[in-house]
Amino acid sequence: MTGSLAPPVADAEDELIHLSAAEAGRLMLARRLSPVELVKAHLARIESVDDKIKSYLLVTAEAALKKAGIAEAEIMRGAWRGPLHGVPYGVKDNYFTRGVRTCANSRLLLDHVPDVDARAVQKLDAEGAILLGKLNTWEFGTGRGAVRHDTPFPHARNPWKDDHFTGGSSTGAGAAVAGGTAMLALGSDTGGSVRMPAAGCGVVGLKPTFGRISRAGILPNCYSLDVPGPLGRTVEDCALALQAIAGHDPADPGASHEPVPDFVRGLEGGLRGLTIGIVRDLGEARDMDAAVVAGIEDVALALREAGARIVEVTLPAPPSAYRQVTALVSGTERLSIHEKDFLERAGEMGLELRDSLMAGFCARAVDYVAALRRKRELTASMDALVNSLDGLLLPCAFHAAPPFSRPDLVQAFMTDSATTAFSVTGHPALSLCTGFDQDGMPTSAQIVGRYFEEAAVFRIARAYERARDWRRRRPPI
Amino acid sequence: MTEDAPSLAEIEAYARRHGLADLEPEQMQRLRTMAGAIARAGKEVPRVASKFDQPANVFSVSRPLRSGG
Repeated sequence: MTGSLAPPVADAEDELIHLSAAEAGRLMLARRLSPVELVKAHLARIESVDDKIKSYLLVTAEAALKKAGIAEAEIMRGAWRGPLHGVPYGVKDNYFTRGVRTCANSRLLLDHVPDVDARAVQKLDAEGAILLGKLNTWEFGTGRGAVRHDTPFPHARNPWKDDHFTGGSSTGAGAAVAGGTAMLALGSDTGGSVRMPAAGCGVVGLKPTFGRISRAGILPNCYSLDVPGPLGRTVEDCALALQAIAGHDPADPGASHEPVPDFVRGLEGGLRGLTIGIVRDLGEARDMDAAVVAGIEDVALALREAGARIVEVTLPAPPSAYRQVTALVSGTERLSIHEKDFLERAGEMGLELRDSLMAGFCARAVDYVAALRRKRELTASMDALVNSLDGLLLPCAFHAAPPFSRPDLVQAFMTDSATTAFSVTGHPALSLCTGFDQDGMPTSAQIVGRYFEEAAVFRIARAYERARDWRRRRPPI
Repeated sequence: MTEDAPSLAEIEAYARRHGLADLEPEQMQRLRTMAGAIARAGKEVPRVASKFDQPANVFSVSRPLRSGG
């Protein structure tokens, strides 16, 4: 900032872009950091590394600088809007942004410029956060793990090794938060699309309870499973983002009326008196990286040391049972979303989207309804387990993110996971970094909570983060 | 191709009947493959045993919230 303000505490761009959103927000409130400097640092970072990691499909530099100037003036005159005021963020390119192309990495929408912002973007805007641009994604957020390199924009790359996969479908969100091209990101999760890129890129990703965040203004992928969610460098950042964007919205028939609590207040509350279930046996043979297994045990140890009681539990059904449901539900609902384009313009679609729509095109209605009925059955049994505990600890991705040169491993990264279960049941689930494997790639675990008890999920994850601060390790780009 | 997959003639007729025209031959083969895959997936979904299972799971209504009580 200018005038009589103290100089910035972090002069180097490198330091600024590795602050957490909460840290930056506190510095800006104290007038020790300028939103303009912060945005400029991120734009410079995008300029220097995004050719490598391809986290953005579109950067809105001019608008971001203008908003940063406004934020600076507001903070200077005491009109502070909240902890995200001046914080630069990106959104997956399936979120509508007024006057800014929203193409979802699809040839079908290359000229699509919405005249309205998604509700979540409206809410972040009201908090004074600053949109840097539109983040990379699989086409319409759709895919089963195969990277075909046939979408209009190339795939995002992992900041830890830029010839490695990020995880999908919120590919750019994971890459941006890890790579320092955005402080926060919003993604969307249908079967793991927030949690898997968070896992692959070593950041925190939250899929909140189904209905916690409005989907209004977000291109749909699967009506029964879609949940928007934040990715951040810290648990606190995700809590701040959720605080800003949660809440009922009459424009989304799935949005809950549940009151929005203070997600930040209890973060440091510790775990004394909490019982957390650890899932070691997923109920079916699974090849899991030794580093991932070690990471889960390390989380359990840290949570125990923080005062929690750890008990071993098993899921009511193995991961494949939940995937049986999503195989039917997602393709069928996706076809209902894209039917006209599928019938008229299938040749313009990438293979992953087209395959999924072809499956939906051939699915029997009775199988779809059977899958919905099974979904309810699986949900009831999972809810009984989750309700018997204060939280659940289990794997997220079973592997570290692999190189693109091994398409078999890329596909296995997405399918060998335990994320789909909580997409089917709607429970809040958070992915967090548990360290790094022998190749320097991040490993992950998943924390799950009761419906609408994201605050407890954050509290558990924060207890681990406090014990093992992996964020201090930075990607080599 | 597995037993779940329709013949090429069957899938071409199905596509035509449901408005999907102009697929390249390669894409028609892919549609046939995906038809087999989704048929298998459909068979694998366990059926909820009872026809008396209630309530219906896909439709609900709630009273709109009114501002100002």
